[in-house]
Amino acid sequence: MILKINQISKTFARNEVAAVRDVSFSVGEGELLSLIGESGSGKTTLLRMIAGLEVPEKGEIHFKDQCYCGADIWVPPERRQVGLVFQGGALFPHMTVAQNIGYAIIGGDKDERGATIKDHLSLVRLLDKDKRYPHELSGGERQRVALARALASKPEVILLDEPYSNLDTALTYDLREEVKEILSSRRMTGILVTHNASDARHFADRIVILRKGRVIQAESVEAVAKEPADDYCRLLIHGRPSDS
Amino acid sequence: MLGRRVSQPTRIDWWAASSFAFALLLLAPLLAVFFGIFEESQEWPHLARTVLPGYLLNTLILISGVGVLSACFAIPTAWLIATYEFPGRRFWQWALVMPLAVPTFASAFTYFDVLEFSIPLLVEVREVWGIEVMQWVERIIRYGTLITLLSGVLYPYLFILLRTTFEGQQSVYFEAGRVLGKSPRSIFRSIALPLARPALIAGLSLITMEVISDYGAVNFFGVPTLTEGIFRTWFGLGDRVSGLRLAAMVVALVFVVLWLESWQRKRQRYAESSQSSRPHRRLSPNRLGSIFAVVSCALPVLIGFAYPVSRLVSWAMIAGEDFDYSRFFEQIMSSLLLAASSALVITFLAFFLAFCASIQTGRLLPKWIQASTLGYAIPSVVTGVGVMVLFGRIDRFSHLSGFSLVLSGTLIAIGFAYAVRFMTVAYKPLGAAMDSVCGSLHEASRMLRRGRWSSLMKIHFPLLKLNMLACATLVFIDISKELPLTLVLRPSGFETLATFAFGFAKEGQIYDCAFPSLLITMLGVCGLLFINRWIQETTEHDT
Repeated sequence: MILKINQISKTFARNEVAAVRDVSFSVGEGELLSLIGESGSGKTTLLRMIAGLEVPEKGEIHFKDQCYCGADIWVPPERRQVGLVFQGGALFPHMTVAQNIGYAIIGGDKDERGATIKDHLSLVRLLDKDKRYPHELSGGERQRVALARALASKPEVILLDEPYSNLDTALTYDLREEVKEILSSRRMTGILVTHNASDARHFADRIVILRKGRVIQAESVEAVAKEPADDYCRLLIHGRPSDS
Repeated sequence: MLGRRVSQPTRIDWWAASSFAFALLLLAPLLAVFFGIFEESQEWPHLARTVLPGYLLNTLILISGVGVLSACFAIPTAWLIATYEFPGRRFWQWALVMPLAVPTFASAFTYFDVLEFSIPLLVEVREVWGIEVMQWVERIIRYGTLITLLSGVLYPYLFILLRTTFEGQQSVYFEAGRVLGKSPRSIFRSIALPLARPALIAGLSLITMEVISDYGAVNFFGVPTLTEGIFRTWFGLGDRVSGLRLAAMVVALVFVVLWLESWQRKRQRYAESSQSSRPHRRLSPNRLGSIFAVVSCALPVLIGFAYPVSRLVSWAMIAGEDFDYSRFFEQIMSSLLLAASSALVITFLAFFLAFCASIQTGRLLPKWIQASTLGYAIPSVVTGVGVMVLFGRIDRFSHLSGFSLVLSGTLIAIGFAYAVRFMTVAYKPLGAAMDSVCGSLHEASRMLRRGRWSSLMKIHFPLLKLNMLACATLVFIDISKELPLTLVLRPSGFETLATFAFGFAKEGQIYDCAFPSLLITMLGVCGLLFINRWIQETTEHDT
């Protein structure tokens, strides 16, 4: 196991409703996993806790042999081996595409950094757009840069927070193919957060379904598709509440 | 049968016409300065050869020194307040704005002692290294003190803009930086500060304009700048054209800086509207970090507010019973009345202009109106000179036509000059509020068959009356502090708080200058507290 989530919970003070309640699951090395649920099910909060952007109230997160958070332990996001692709890309608007990717590279001389930027630009097929600013790119191109930037920081686990939500259908199909291909070819471990069953099934080996902050079902894509745990899972996966 | 053609008379849009006329009136003094520079001047070549390089050099030294030191005060404090939760953060957030209430000339009176304290050191330097080195050391102390006191009073312009920008920056960029393995310090350097560049430039531009415009402090410290040069040339040498040429140079300097910045920015952007964002969560620094934060916030407040105000209070106590309060209050009530009525008129005019600009479908009139509010970028002495020239011409014309002199040397001239100078202080926030608060309400009102007047009075005014009150307060504070414009245009015997304080200080009655200076500061503090509270309540209400 590369990542182990154990009995994790989080309540936001503002509305005092538990966003995540006693969630446990684990992710194997090189595995691709989808977290799926309706709005407010706690999937993004869970992802942010794995990234270190939210501090859980209780529970533990383990990465390999290291404890990322637990009793009296909390590793800040910059020290975790985790990359995150944000919903809108979160590209820095004052930097060009190449500068955005370069910002993620730590250490190395100028030539090495240049070569790494070029590798990642070529990986997402944007070599010719290195000098463009984010606002000069299309939605799909922005998300590809965001992926390249996340990969450039050399994470061992990559988290994707609804990366296709701002894109139209045609772009989504192209991009999700590309993302899966890139992650699979590098044997990266990845977690995708989405509310779209088609995206979730296409991306993952395994699916975790969340509802009101709890795990309802966590099984392989085939098992979830064949035997949804309840009507909620069926509605999410097949788009209808029952087989009838 | 052919239909009968009905010819309709061309309708004049009175709203557009009157706003155009008002805007033209506000621009007229600047146009008077512009046309004045082409007249003949015997003295100009001599001035350009002898004193002009010195004026220019002094102005540039002050601009760069105050710019750098203000940035040193404002950038770390704005970042600390916006990003960290340290002891007394809420108090410092308010305290850091307070130096804005202290007029630069009042601060200059209180720091003048530094020059006296340095005399033993200068004597020592002269004995060891000779008179030339002593002169250099004296210059460094004088310029250094002036730069420090001006920065201490002016940095809040930058602080306010940066704090708002840092707090409003989309937290997702900060989070992205952290996930990419960067420390908060690195994120500040590489992301937050470059993204805050428009605010940084805007704040530094305001500070630059204030430095260029300053007369009281530079005059008191004997550092002749371009503004001081205009005074000397116009009123000392009586050379009007050279004064106008100096004024035009000042204006050109301001515009070159602004143009260079916008050209250099080119294609870059500083925010993504499509990016969703979460509320900022402040970080908790460790013990050492907290101490550093408190010291960083305390230092500029000490220099810009605590020291000058405590000196003024002690002087006011010394002046005590000997001070002629009855004469003072008699004169000051009329000046406060002028400031209050000017602030109200300016705010209502700004409201009217902002409304006219918002309802126009064309782009030309809004641009014209915006151009007419440029007065704040122009040093006040230039505005004063422009109004003098303009009203002088009008009076000459009316005199030739058989009428008496009606405008020059009157309160009308001074009120008009305040309007030219401070219109933008009210216009900018009201224009922005009109866009954000009223949106397309005017169109909705028209669809309900209501006219523009009804829309203005029944929709825009009730929605924006608190904004107008805040703007009027800001204008009132600015007018109370205004010195060079009032010195140039005031009617004989008319005093304001600022001219009172400056007059006492120039005559060496340093203790007597404390009372009017303190009164200006108190008015400023009350105004700032009111506006700060109002902004806070509005923000809380919005969220």
